[in-house]
Amino acid sequence: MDKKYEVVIGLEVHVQLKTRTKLFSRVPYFFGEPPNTLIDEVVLGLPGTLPVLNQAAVLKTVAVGCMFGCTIARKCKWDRKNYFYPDAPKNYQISQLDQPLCSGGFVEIELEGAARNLQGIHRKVALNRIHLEEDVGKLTHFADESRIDFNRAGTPLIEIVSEPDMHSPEEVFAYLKSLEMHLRYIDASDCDMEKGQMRCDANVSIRPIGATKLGTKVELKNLNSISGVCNGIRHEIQRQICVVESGETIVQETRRWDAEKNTSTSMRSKENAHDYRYFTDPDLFPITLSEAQIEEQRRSIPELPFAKQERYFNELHLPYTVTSVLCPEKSLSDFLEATLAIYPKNPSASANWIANDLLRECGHQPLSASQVTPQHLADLVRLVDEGVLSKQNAKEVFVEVSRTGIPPQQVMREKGLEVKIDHDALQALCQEIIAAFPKPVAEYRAGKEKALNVLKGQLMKKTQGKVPIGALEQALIACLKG
Amino acid sequence: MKEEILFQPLKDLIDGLSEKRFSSVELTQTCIDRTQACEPKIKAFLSFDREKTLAEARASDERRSKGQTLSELDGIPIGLKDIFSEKGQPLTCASRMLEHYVSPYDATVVSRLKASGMVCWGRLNMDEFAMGSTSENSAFHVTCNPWDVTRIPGGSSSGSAAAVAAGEVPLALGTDTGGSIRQPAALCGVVGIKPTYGRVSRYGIVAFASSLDQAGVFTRTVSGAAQILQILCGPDLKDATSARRPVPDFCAEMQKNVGRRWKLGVPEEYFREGLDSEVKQSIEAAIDFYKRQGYLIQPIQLQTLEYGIPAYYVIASAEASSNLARYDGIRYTYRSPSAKTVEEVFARSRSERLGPEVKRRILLGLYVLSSGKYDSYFYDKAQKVRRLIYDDFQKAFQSVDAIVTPTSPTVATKIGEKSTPLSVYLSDIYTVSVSLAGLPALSIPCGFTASKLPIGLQLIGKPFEESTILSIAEAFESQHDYWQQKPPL
Amino acid sequence: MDSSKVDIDQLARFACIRFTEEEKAVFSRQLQETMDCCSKLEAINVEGVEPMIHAFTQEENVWGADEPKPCAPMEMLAKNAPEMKEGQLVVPKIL
Repeated sequence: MDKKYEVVIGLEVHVQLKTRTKLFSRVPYFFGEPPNTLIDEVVLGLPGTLPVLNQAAVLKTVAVGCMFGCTIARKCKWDRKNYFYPDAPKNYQISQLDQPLCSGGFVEIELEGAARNLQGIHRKVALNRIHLEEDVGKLTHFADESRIDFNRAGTPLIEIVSEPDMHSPEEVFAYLKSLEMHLRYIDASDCDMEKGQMRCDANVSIRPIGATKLGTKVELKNLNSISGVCNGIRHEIQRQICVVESGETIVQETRRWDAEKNTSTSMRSKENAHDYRYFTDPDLFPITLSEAQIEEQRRSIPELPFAKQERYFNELHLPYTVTSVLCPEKSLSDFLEATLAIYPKNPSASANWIANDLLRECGHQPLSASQVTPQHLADLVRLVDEGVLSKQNAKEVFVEVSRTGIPPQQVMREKGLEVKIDHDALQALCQEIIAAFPKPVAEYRAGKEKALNVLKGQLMKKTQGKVPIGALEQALIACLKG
Repeated sequence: MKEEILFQPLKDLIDGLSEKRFSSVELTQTCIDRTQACEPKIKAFLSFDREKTLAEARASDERRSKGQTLSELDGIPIGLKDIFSEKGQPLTCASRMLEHYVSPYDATVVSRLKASGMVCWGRLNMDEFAMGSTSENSAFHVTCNPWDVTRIPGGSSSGSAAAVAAGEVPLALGTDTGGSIRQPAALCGVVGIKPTYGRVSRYGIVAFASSLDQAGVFTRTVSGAAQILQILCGPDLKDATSARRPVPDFCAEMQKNVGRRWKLGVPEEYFREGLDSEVKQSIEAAIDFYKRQGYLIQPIQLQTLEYGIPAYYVIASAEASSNLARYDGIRYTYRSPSAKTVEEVFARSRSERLGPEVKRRILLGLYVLSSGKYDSYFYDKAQKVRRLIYDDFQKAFQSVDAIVTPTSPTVATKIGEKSTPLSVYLSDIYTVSVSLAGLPALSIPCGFTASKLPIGLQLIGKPFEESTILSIAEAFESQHDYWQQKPPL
Repeated sequence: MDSSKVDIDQLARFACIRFTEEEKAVFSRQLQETMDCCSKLEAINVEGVEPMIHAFTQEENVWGADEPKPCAPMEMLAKNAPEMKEGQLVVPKIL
């Protein structure tokens, strides 16, 4: 970006909460159902209907707030946001104006590293608030008419409002990725932007470097994918710089991003801004949350991906290439930890199996659909470590286990892949090498463990990699001690 | 079967059915015949469905013949204000906007009536969307007062009050937002009760002002009202604002209370200028009756009376402006055929089909929600004043069991007599504060003017103490014959 | 309440209702009259008073468990809808 200007970006992200039923009706919601089949009189806003709040939606929002370190409201009320639009069945939306469920907090983000195997910089993006509201129906535009499907109407949405605390499209990208990762992590949402489960509006302004007052902000709408958000913002920054550089002033307005044409057009200026005439919804009582209820949600939050990543670095000494695959996906890190609970000895091997082989076997299927269990993996890693199975053959066993669910020991035996070691020959080889390399032998015997590697290397050369390292090591040590 | 039965207490109807002196079909047919005879003059109904109603009556008779009645009210006909959703029936709210709308579901109260075996007879006229107190705001026709057909029946539950008064139906449901049950009950000379806000589910009742709307009943006698209330009241999972608290056995409570001498508060503010002298005399006579019965009559102050009208109109209109936004020509209401764009669908449909009073209230509501220091500034202010009014009543109830006032400052006025909207609003003075405080209140006939127009007495109770005002009302009714008088039709 | 500020055009826009010039004059005057009456509220001291949205309070939160119930048939929409096509509600094209 231009070095003369500082960019300031705040995001309003709407995320569809993963509840079974809608926010104010017990009609279920799924994506992709035939139009107007997930409805009832409440969803359609028929005369006489009344909203009944979904407890799970409130508690999930509280959980999200706890995850992001927000202050959770002990009491919150519901407000009506009034505006006429054909996708809003009541021509008002039930939302939260001045008592959001969550306020403050932050989202930790990880910027892209200098290379794929390097961790990027971490920082915290401050949040303003998170509130709960109902979604509207979906409009589809045809040549001569528009059509409305109310399936989506009334589904719970959380609006996550950041502070104007981001300064580049890259930070925005990292922020959205982090939101996506965290919300999926606690199963609050699937965050699929293509399915409209995550929608984003951006407030963008620029100011001369060093200025303290915020510049005039422009709201960007219709940012339909994470890359669309970044492109739209990048374009808007350039547009604003051009306006300022040509001596004109930025107009406070709402602009619509057109991803295909790679440009934006003005939707409405501040003068025509909506007047929503918010007031407390008289159909609903305020909700009171006890400290215990909030605490229960707080306790439900698992160790989060970035904290887990730190722990994997420090305790398990796993590399970034592996943690960056395992940590964002709770199912993967859970699998690792279940494996380590059974066989804690070789975390690096277990992690690599999951990050590479298991993921590859799963393809696009979820991990839960795989035949491989943590017990299988633990057994497999142990078999290799104990020298019963060579690394090469272990791959073959793994593929078979993942296809059939048959335990690795059995696969190994049935396929005859178990290492058949001629122990006498191996012992003879060890003696030969011990005799040939007195220096490392002496060093090892003097307590220098690393000296063993030299001998091991020689032994591997002699056995042409056909004998598992574990078995080589065992035999070598036995000879050295004998 | 004689139409006389339709002027008898509910108990006589119940006994007649249970003793098999007549069937539900006979009783219902009598209602239908009486309705047909009266309607040209009264015009209380917007529509009725004879076949549906008689089928319900036949089903009731069948249940009875098998000894499978659903309740003691099984087979009793009841009229519905055209604001209650009844599956498969029109629901117009007396608005051209909903002229062809058919409700696809039952309101909770309608489900409860049906579960008790009651027979729903007809859709009763009202002021459009319950806004008004004369029936003159109905988009379809004006209902006439059975006591003098040149006069208004009151409103907004105009048809409900007039139909019961004329004997077209023994009972009717109405709704009360600022007096819409009590005032027409008073003007038509029948019993009308609005329970405590939250007692009766609002689910399926077209909303006017959500924080004030409450369903209630019109009956000939107080005990009849208690029996129907027993069916209607109680928590409903579909209405978050329905009170999660047990409902007492109203009739049993009334039995227990017979002979009890209550403390009655008489607020002097309710007897000042603007109160018709004949009405005043009649109310004072009623108070005197209670005194003679040994009741303690205590003057009290309700100084917030004058705040009631402004606070009520701010709150009710603000809520209405939002509640009525859904009538927009998009999904189920009238859609203007000339509309070429979505904006025109909204604007033309609404402009063409909402009546002037509805438009006035919407404008007022939008005004109070959009002006001032912030959105809803005036609405919030009115809600604060509302608390002062509530506190005022609470204070009074520390020393009395119930409060006695006139229901309406005047008797029924001539159709077309009141000239400005404001003058109509001001006539709600005795009823709106009670609505703001969410209190139970009823109106019973307590006399007639010299020109034989009914006068109503309002009894206001503590929250959720409907039994008390029912008991006090019955004590009056049992010693007077106003309820037995029939309008000259 | 300063009712001199009644902007009938703005209110009409919020209301999605069109008025003729005569109607505007009549409604403005009536609204003004009503607001003059409602201006009594301004003089009332409500310092420290909490707004009262409902006349009673519920002891416990009123909310429902996240248990799905059956949906209504599409007929619930179709029956009263002005125009439907392929299961969707039709409105004039929105630009």
